[in-house]
This record gives sequence, C-alpha cells and structure tokens, in this order.
Amino acid sequence: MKSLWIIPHLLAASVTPVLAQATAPATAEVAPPEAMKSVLLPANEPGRAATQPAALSNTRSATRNVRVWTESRPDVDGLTAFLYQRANELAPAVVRLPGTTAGEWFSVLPIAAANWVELRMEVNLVAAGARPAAKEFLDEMVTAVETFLRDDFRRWRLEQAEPLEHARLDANRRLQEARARLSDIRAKMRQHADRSDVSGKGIADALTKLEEERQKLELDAMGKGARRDALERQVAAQSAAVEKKTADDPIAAELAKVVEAREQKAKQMQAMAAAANASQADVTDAIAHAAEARAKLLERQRDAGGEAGGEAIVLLNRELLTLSVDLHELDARLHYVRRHLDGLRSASDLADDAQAAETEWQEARAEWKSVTDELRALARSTARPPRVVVTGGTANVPVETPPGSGGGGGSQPKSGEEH
Amino acid sequence: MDNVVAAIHERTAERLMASAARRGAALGARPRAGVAATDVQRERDRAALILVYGADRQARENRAADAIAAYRRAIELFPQTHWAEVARRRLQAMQS
Repeated sequence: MKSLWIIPHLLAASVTPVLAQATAPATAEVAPPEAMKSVLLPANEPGRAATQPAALSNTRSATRNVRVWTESRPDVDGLTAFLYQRANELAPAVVRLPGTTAGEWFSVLPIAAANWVELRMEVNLVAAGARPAAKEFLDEMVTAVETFLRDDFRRWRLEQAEPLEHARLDANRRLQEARARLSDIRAKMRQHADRSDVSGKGIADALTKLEEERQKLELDAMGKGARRDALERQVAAQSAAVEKKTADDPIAAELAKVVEAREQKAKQMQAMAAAANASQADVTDAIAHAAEARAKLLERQRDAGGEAGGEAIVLLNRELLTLSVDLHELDARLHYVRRHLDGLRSASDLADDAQAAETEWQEARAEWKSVTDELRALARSTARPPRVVVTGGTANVPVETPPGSGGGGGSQPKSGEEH
Repeated sequence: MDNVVAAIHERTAERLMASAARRGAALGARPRAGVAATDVQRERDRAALILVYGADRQARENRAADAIAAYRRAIELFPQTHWAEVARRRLQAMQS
C-alpha cells in the first residue's frame, strides 16, 4: 500500500487543493511515520529493543489541515465526535494528559465543500506536565481520520450494496423456482402428449390433426361396420335361399327317385343272389347303377346350389372376413388416436400453467439481470476509496530561555514549519 | 320294374336339364360353380365364426355393449350353427 506523508515545509497552508489532489495517494491507507510508531509502541513490543526510539519533536502546539475526497459523503459530525473521542484515548499515552481533557487542548474545525471535507486540527499543550508531543499527537489523529473514513467507506458501500444483494438473491430464488416449476410442467406435458414439442402451438396443431384423424377413422369404421352388418345379413339370407332352392329343384327330385329305384333294385338283387336266383355279377351291376345315380344326384344338387346363388355366399363371406380384419385395424388405430387425444388434451390443460410459469421465469430473469447490472454499476462507482491528503500544518517548538536572561527559566514558543 | 321306374325318372331329369341348358344358353348365362348343401352350411358357420370372433375381441377391449350386440347378431342370423351356441354361452357368462 503506497503512502504519502506531506512534508510540512513543502506543504504549507498555502498549498492549493489542486496540487494536493495531484499528489494524493491512490487509497486512504496512509502509514504513520516511523517517529510516530515509536511513540505509540508498547513497552513490551519486541521491536522496541531492536530499534532506537525516535527523538521527540518537543512541540507544544501544532496544526494540521487534512482534506478528504470521498464519494461516501461521510458524517462530518460523527467524524468530529470520533476525533475528540480518539484524542481522549490517545492523550495519556502520547501527551501524558488525562483522557478526559482533550477538549481543552485539542480542537477540530470541519469545513465541508461539495466534494471534499477539510479538517483543521489544532493542539495546544500549555498544561503543566504535558509531554511536548503536539506533532506526534496530530500524526496519530491523521491516522484516526483515515481509520474512520476507511470504516465509514466500507459501511457505506455495504449499506448501498446490501438491499441490492438481497434483491438479487430473491430474484435468483424466484428464477430457480420458476425454472423448476416450468421444467416440471413441461415434463408432465411431454409425458401426457408423448412428444418432445410441448409448445402451445405444437400441442394445438397436434390436437387439430389428431381430431381430424379421429373423425376420419370413426367415419371409416362406421361405414365398414354398416357394410359388415349388411354382409352378415346377406350371408344368412343367401344361404337360406340356396338351401330352399336346392331342395325345390325338380331335376334333383327326379334324380332322387332314380336313386331310390336303383337302390331298391340293388337290394332285390342282393336278396335274389342270397337265394341263388341271381349271380354275383348281377348284384355288382345293380350296386354300380345305384352309385351312379347317387353321383348324378349330388352333381345336380351342386349345380342347383350354384344356380341359386351359392357361389355368391362364398364371395360374401370372403368380403366379410376382409371387412372384419379392416375393422380390427381401424379399431386399433382409433384406440391409439383416442389415447393420444386424451394425452394431448391433458397437456393442453397444462399449457396455461406452463405459460404462467414461463412469464414468471422471464420476469424473475429480467429482475435478476436488472439488479445485477445495478450491483455492477455500484461496484464501479464505489471502486475509489476516500483519499486523505494533509494539505498543511505547523508545529511550534518552545524556545529555551537561558537562565538569568529574565525569562524565568520558561520557554518561549518558536513558530515554524512542522517537521 | 325298378329299372323301368328309374329309367323314366332318369329320362325326365335329362329332359329337364336339357331344357334348363337351352334357357341358360338363350339368356347367355355362363355355367356357375356349384355349392352343395354341406358347403352352404360351412359358409354359414364361417360367417358366424367371424361374428363371434369380433365379439370376443370387443369383450377383451372392455366394449361390452358392442360385444353383446355382436353375440346376439350371431344367434339371430345363424341360429343353427355351432358358433351361435358359443355366442349364447358367452352372453350367459357376461350377464352372470
């Protein structure tokens, strides 16, 4: 930490603030001179034995002007009160005076301007027994000013940043909650809709498309169902008609009588052969004739069935089977479409919740960004700590009066630049 | 005697067939494949089976009303089939 102590003979009271500002340190950290360190060093300080104690300035009165540039607008009254309190604390150690008398020999005059505050501090140690360390005392008071301002600056910066930090944390919490809620709702929507695109438009488009598909499938199923019903009735009616027509066929009736006569003849021949009145060849011939007649009857019955529309029953049944398979397929597709429609409707019901969560997330995000920007701006504006510059001061060394010169052995003050 | 009767009926049948063939030829009808009575019954059974099979599927899909209607239709349209009896049993089971 770079520090600058203003050498009194270079910085008299006439030094302008401009010059002082130009030579001011970058920070408020201003280390006390080695002389002051030795004044304040405790008796048991290890470094004390190693270093030679600095010579006392032997000053009984001194002034010090300190100018402060800061953006934290310090509480001047508070600073003044602090300096008096600090003077009382330092009094016993530095000037060997009671810690309650500082108001009698120490004074601070604050002068506040628009962007700086000047403190004119003065020490006048006329009391008997006072240690002639006015210069050292004021050095310590400058350090006290720096300490106060540094703490005040930190406090001020914290006070400025605290509400913004709270706001940022709050916005961040809301942001996380809204994000989690949105994510949860979208996951549910994906689960219901069984699709990755769960935007409002995507869901609405899918609903419309699937509704149209459902209507088309239902219409198709209705038509095919009606056709299947008609076919079933047609098969039943046609089969009854074919049976009736076959039974009523006159040719088949004639052929049935032929079969009956041939079978009767075959039985007679068998009986005659058993009585040895006919040969076995005659029996075989009669049986063959009967079988031939049965074959003709069956053939005729088949033809009669064909003429009655029996072939149509086969075709109707074939179409019935095809329709049954088609209806099965339509049912499966309808089931799928209806199930997905239910899911899409559930997802659509959640779309409003998702929209609300998204709006909340966007608001929280905008708020978080705004607060973060404000915090950055605050960090930039408070990046420069207060600058403390000693702009002038004096220290008076009492002039020793030789004994017998009429001065009574006292000392006369000798005014000079602080050193 | 039996041979005489048979011959008469046989000639009658032949005449009737010839007459039918002439009518068919005059109308330009093509000869059609025949279906015997047993074939008709088989087609009836097949239609009833298709109905009962569809009804069973509807019952499995918890479409009881559709299934009951289909079983009843099988009984109504094809009462003399084996599958009509199956449909009756299914209906009883569903209603019990």
